[in-house]
Amino acid sequence: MNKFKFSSGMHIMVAVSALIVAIGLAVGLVCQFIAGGFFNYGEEYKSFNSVVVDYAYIDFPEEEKVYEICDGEFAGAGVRYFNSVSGETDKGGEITFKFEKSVEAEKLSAVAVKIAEKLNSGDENLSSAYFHEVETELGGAKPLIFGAIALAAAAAFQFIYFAIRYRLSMACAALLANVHNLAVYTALLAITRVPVGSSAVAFGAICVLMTILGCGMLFGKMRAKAKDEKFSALGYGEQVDVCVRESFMNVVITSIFMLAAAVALIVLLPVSSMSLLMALGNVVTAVLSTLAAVYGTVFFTPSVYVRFARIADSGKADDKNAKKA
Amino acid sequence: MGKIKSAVITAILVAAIVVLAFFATVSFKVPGSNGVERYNSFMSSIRLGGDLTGRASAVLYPDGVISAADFEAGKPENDKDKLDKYVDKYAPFGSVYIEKEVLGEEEDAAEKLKAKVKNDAEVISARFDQKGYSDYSVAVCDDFTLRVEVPTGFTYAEYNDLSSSTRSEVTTDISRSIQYLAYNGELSLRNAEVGKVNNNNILTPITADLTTYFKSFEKISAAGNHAVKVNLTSEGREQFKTMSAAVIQAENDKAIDFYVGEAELLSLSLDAAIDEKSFYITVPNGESVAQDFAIVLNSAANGKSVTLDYKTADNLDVVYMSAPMGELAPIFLMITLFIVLAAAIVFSIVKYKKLGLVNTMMIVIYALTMITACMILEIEVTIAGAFALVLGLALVCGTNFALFEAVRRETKKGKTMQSSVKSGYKATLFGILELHAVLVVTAIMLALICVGELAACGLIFFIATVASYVLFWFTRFMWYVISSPVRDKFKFGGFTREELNDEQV
Repeated sequence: MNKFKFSSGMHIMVAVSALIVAIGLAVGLVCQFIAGGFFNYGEEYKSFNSVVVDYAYIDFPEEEKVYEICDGEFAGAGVRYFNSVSGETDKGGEITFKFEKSVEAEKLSAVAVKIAEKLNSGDENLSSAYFHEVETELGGAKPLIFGAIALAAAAAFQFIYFAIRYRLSMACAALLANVHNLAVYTALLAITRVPVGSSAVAFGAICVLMTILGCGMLFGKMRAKAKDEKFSALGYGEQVDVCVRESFMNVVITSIFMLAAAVALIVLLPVSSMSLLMALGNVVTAVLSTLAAVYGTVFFTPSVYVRFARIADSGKADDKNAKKA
Repeated sequence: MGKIKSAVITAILVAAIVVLAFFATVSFKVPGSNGVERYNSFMSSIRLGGDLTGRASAVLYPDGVISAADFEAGKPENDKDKLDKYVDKYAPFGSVYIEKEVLGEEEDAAEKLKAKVKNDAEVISARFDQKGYSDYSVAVCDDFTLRVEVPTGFTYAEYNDLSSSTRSEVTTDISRSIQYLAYNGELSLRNAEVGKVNNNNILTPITADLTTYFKSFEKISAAGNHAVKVNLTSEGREQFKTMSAAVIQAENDKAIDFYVGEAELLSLSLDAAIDEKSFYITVPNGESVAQDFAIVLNSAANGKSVTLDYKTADNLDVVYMSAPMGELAPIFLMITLFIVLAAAIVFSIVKYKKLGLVNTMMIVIYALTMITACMILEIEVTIAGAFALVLGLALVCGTNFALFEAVRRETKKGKTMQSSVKSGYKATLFGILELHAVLVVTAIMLALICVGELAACGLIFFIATVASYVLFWFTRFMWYVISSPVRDKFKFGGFTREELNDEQV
């Protein structure tokens, strides 16, 4: 890592990022038409099919027995639900089994009839099971839209702050880093098809936060070292390389710490409630967010900043020459 | 600082922390109340999101639409004629049955009804949006019904039925909200004596457009009283002046009643004519009802009316579903947070010896601050909110560790401990202030711009960041107080003083 030139290879970084974004765009667009969405929207945002089972406590004092019957019928029909929740009604209990929209309605209707038959094998006929189609697109858009606005506002704030605190070229590089990191993050979400819900927006915010902190560490180091004569004598590329090397571990450790905190919480909680699979999507989202932030901050930003700094300097030199002339 | 002074300050502070920690974490039956009264700790009084305590769900059926289960249950027995008549009355549409009379004769009647249900879903969704739930959903179910899901927002005590009275208050509020926010029809102002008898006692001219009367309706709460504040436009003010002047002349009914559809929401009793830009109408049934009425009136006054009657007043069955992460999710979240807290404490003590105890004190103060803030501000904590709490803890520890490392670097230069601490603070001061300023602004943006769960995360992180910066300075004070009686101040923090040779000096 000591000899790696972070400042050079902008073209390679741009090519890599463009490739990731292009693949993400392609996968997303294809899925938009054949799989019902650019992203694989999470449970809280996507429409679903469901089988709602109502049962009487007189027939089934224990919920587990109802689950057993339903699970048997679902397995027999070859369908799997992605989530189930239970509750109480005035007669007894109610279980809602949620299925992907792609699971055939006819199949689920038939299973519901079979479940109802099995539950009502006695004379009482107090239990029922019905298939329902639920279109949930109405409630989910707003959190995503407002989340995106908040992220854009955070990036704009970072630009203003960096322009005042550091230099305009640094602010431009940091802004580009944020746009780049979010683009890579969303592309990775589209490619990996992890469920996108409010946790994905939260990790998008973490990605922006890590980028702001990472860029702050890098440019803060450059500002602090600017007083050093030896450092000032170096070219832009070498200056950036020195600072990235020195702040590399800090950026990586901060990102890994945030990732570890997220994973600890996401994994420990469902492990405790015996449903590790539930956590997998969120863990993958957290990893993607960290990857995008570290890659963009450490590898993409330095090379872009050097180009910006040179452009700014040549602009200044041109101004001076013009004045002299 | 002398030994005694140091010991007294430390003892007072530790005692305060222990007492606060006790009330923050331990729930118990109040002695002397025969086990009737129960003290619920701060932690068990924090509102929890739908992912931890489940959601309340209700299906709203428009008038004339029934579920397949209700259709089956309503079949007349032992009378074929009645049964045929009953079956003929309804048309099946998937899992719902619709009265043919409601559908009418038109060919595209079902499509028109579907469109109305979808429009209503949008209006009702917009109304729920203003309730400030961490998450909610208004979905079209089986094309002709609406499925509403809102987080219960139970505290742990309510979730486990340890606080039955407040649990029933919450469930009543949820049922009322679903009932009120689905009210259909347009806004009208009525009076039984002065209003037009042939037109539902409506006070305003038939041609009047009420959307031009009102600027907004707001919920106002003060000193345990709740009201809806009605803000009028200049046209509305004129109309109210005229209407109220007429109403006070009435013999018995001296009130202007606010109706949405056929439901009376508010009644404004008058002693004199009104000539104000705004006025208040008291709502007796609590804050949630005042908010619901303000939302519905706002929606109706802006021309966003629900078109179908969902009969929520007499036909609402709310089901309280289990938490998607399991029934024990709140307990395990607490255990997870304690593990993270314990890990931070162990790490700081191992790395910084007795100085780690100072950091431990800050960690505990941070935890108590956040518990108290979440309880007092009634922030609905979800798993994402818990993550914001952990990030705040990381900030507290990270800030102190950065400071300790800066001091360590200074000690290696051969400075005294006092000088090292001073220089360490000086070296980290600006960076830490800068970091906190950036994070505070980011948190404010999240809190103000986002909605629901993310807004709550922003608020939690804002409080955490402010707490972190205050604790950064408090660390210095406690470091000074606790280390005062200690002879070897370098050993206190696990530091070693470098002895410099002449050349280095």
